[in-house]
Amino acid sequence: MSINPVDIGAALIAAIGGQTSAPPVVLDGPLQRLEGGFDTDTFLVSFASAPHDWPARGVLRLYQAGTPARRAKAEAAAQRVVAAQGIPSAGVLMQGDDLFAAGGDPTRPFMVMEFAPGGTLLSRGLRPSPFFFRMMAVMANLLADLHQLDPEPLRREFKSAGLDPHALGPDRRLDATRERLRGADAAGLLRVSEWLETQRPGEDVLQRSVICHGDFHPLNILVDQGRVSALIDWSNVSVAPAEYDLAILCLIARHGPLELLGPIRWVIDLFRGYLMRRFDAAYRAASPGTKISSATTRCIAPSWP
Amino acid sequence: MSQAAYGDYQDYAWAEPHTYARLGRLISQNTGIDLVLPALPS
Repeated sequence: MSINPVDIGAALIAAIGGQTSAPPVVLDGPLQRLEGGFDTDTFLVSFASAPHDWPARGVLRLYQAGTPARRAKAEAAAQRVVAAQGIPSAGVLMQGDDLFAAGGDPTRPFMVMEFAPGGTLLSRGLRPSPFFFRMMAVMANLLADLHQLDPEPLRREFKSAGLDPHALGPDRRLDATRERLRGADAAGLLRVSEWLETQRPGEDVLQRSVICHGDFHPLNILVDQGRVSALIDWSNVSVAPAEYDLAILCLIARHGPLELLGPIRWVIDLFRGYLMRRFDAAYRAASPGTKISSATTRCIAPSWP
Repeated sequence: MSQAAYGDYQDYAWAEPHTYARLGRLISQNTGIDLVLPALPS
């Protein structure tokens, strides 16, 4: 059921009032819908009067009805941890289990973040400018920086937010995939699930786990004036070998739904091999200590020596 | 695949028929499983 932005604005004011001791919040005009993820509604919020130390503009990320509260908690925890360690990320101003607490069933978790200026890396990279040649290096350096972080603070932040740190590991993700496939009444895919079980990473592989974004691609990177302003959408954050992020990026870049991109799809289609080789070279240069399996290398840059 | 299960994903770009078929081929190639993907509900 879609809800009027005016009602969402009113609910947001009430929620902020309930969590902060600030004078009443006043919005500077209606919420403006932003392009957002598949399963969230995202709005730009302008404040005429905001809680002190909040900026004049924020972003409301509102999850679909019935989304477990732990998802918003996990995203907020990830954003707090990586931002504290220097990864450009929208600062979390507030997070709650249900925006419509008064009559909320099913619940709609939400998060209010700082507004990060700029556009997606893809949109900026495809403008006719020298940034086209730099965008893969920008992306690779960002991912390499993320993979250098110590994952322990993220595990601790999960614990203090009441979340299970084990949920960050690949085991839980495999379990969740199996349950989804069972629930989907898709018998053929259950064989794939069984195959995945046989591929569970061993302890030796898991020992080199890092913080993985889990959905790292150019539409989740915001760029302003040639610099990354935020890495967004942390809903799949994991602690896993770096190859997890590389494999997901590879899957998206080589096989992703180009239909999403409309008229620029042919540019991407033409250049995706070239762009991925640039990414591969830049990532390796920025993270010489990271072990990358030959299977991952073949996927990312198949014609690369 | 049941309509109920697919319903959660039908607006998702990965569920676009060409992409869905391409992913099916990719899974088969990588796992060795002769996968017959469930038909998408029309």
